[in-house]
Amino acid sequence: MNKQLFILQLFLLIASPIGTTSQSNISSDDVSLTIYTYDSLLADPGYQFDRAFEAYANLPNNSVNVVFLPDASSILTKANAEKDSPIADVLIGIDNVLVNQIRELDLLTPYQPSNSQNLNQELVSGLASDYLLTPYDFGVISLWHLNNSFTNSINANEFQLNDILSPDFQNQLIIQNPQLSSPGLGFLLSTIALFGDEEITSLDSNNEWNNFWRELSTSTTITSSWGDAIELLYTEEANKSIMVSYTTSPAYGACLYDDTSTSALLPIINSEKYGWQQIEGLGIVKNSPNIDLAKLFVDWFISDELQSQIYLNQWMYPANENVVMPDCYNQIIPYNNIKPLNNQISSDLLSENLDNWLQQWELAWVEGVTDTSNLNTNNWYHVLSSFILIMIIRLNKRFK
Amino acid sequence: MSQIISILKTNFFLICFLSIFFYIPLSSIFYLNLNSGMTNWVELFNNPLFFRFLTFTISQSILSIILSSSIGLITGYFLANSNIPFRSFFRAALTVPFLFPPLVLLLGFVILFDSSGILSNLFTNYSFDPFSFNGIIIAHSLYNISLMTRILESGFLSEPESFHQLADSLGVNKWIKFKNITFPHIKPYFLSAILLVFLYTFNSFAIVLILGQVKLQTLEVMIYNQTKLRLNYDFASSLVIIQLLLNLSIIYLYTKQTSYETENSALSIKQYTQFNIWPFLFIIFITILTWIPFILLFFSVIEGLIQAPSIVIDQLFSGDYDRFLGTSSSRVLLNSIIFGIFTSIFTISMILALIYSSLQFNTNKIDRLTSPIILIPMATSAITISFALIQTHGQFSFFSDFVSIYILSAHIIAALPFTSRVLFSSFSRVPKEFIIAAKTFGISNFKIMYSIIMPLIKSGLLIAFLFSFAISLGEFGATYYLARGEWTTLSLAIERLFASRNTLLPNLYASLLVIFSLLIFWVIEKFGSVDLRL
Repeated sequence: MNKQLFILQLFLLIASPIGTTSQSNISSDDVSLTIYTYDSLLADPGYQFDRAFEAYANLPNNSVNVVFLPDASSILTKANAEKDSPIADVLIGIDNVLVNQIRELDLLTPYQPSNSQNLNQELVSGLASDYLLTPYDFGVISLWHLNNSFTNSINANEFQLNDILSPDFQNQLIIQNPQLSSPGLGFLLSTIALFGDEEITSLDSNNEWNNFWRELSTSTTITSSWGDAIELLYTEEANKSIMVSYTTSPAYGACLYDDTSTSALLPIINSEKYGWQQIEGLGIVKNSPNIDLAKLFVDWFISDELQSQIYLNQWMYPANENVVMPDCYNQIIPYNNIKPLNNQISSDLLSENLDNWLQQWELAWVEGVTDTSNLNTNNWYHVLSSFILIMIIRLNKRFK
Repeated sequence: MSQIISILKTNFFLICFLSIFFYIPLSSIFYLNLNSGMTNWVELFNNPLFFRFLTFTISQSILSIILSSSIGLITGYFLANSNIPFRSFFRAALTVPFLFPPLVLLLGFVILFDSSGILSNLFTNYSFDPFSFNGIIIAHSLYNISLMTRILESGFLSEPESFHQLADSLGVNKWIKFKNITFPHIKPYFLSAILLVFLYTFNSFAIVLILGQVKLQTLEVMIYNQTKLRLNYDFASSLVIIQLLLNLSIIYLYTKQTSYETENSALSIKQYTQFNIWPFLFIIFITILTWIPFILLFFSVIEGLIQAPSIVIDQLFSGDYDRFLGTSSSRVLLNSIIFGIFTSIFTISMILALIYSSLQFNTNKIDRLTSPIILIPMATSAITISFALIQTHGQFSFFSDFVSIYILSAHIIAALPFTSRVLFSSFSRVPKEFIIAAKTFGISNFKIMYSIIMPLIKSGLLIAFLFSFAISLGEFGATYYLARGEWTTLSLAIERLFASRNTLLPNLYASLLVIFSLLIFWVIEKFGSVDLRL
């Protein structure tokens, strides 16, 4: 009988993968190209780039499998976990900050697209001169706000980053966790570039960046991703009106709904607007199972066909210089009027310090409970809990 | 020797399963830690956030215990000793919330307490922030009141009525009666409830992840952040070891406590005094308090359905949220059911094989067989298991192709301690004379298992199936860590949509989970009783 049971268990062990994987929509045999990206890529109103590429490359339906992940860090984590036996062929959404990490992890293989001459060469050198990543869009991190009664009081021409530390401002503000989100990280780097660090000359000496974040954490709302933040911004009950986004974000309402009720804010120093430039790129995974198709995809992604969708679906500037900017973008802060803060932090400095800065940020954010009543309450709780624990131990001994 | 080989064969699946999906991955974390030397320990002890979060993890657990046990003690006392109309209804109503997934409570909790929530609309000076230390304590306490009440009620029922009658006749005062009769009887129950709540809150993930907002992290959330976001595996391995050791110590204390408790577990039949309105009102108040988050969820869904049914249907079936969820709404539902069913089937099969092996032993040896499958998995948190799985299996393409198996394995590991307790406790009630008599007649162990044991533990099997299903349905940590896209479950979908502040769909999903849990509870109570202890 033991033999019967043994065979039955062996069957269960073998049958389990079959039973549980039969639910997958696309079996691995059907997929020709696997792409990892974040969930808001070309999402609003929406351009189905996977289907468009299938049509372009004459591939059968569903032969491009796009795995949407919540944020750029998740793309990196997943690709790193599969490093020795890669599943993905292409990663989309790695920016000019995460590029250092992806280089260290040795996840991608350089590829210069056949049509790279159409790209803005400043972006190429700003992201990866060796084409480890190919830029597809760029933007400038800013504070994007609804022009309601509160934000009407902000004078955009004299705006300083320290202004957002006021309690009223913080209650309205949504930022993204820099450990998870690339715009969130861009905003953190803006503050480091502006307020300075050991090896970075300060542009604004009114604060220190750690202290700025310590103060900001008092009542600012933090979300995991840009997508979560925008949903929160447009949820009336949440009563929020400002979020970390891009200078191009006001174009969304203007282009789609002729709505000019939102604006972007950048810090002003000596009458100059400063902002952190984010360049997003895509790259081919090292030892990609479908390298030729992956190369074709990268070529197509920076072609005029795809790049013409960036302005009105991704709400960023396309990397391809052939694409003409729509008129509805005229009312946003002109890109040429912005001084990039990226010049403050060299690529080497960024690569050396990023982990340390993120650690310092977390510490500042956690420590920044400057609301004294809250702090005292917590200390009071610690004393009470220790006292009660001692009482329980004593009582336990007494009644034994 | 042949007996050992026979046991190994019978439990081939369980041994393979635990080795591949639990012990080897867990050992890899220890190996990683040893390999990385002392540097990560130095880094850990020099990290100011570690001590801050360790203090937070312990202090929030202690405060949650204090709050939930204070309420649970009074509620349990009134339920056991007072003349409460509709006692079984209230007992059931106070037990069910513990079966609901923590994420469902969290959703209702935020609807109630958030700055845009119900209380904020009712009171103009409302300033409570659920995304805070206090919010976490209250959410944990609300969740654990059920467990405390149910266990402590059993404690109060274990007091023999005759002791009190004798004490009354001798004119003993109330304090002496409490000190010498009540306290010694409820003490083992009280301690076991405390240790269990400590275990749940110490390893809390979903509630702290969402309400803590980066500022407050349990060790569990810290391990998640270090492994998933920072890829700092060496550092995380030290955190895992600390968490595991603390958990094992708590479980060791717990098992010592429960073995004492089972020796004293005969419940007395109470002679209730006259009806008193205050205990009754208190019980009603606590029932409402524990149920209000779930009632609000239902109301919001019903309101949505009445006001704009087309929006509800549109959100469910339009596919607009598929990108957020990684799959369709129907697939989310199907995933949860599939994981639940497979978890139940595999868990029960493995425990039945263990019971079958134990037929060859005397009963004392069952404990030795079951302890490695109960104690160590129970002490290992969902995030640790997921981290360990990625560490050992993540490098293979099989992991990505069949990630569902790894999610399922984590669900099975979570369900094993509960299922084994239910089935072994059913098995222990099978009269041993039946088995001895059958063996004397030369009936094979398989026949004994099939014809004697299985029919006698039928209700235990059903309860174990439903318990495993409920655990799988509510599992969040491991699924959150491992699942992406097509394997999104209801719990995961709630978190994704909640983060984006969509209220209708997550409330609808949460209501579905509540309905599932209620059905499970109803069936379990029909065939046995819900035992919240391990």
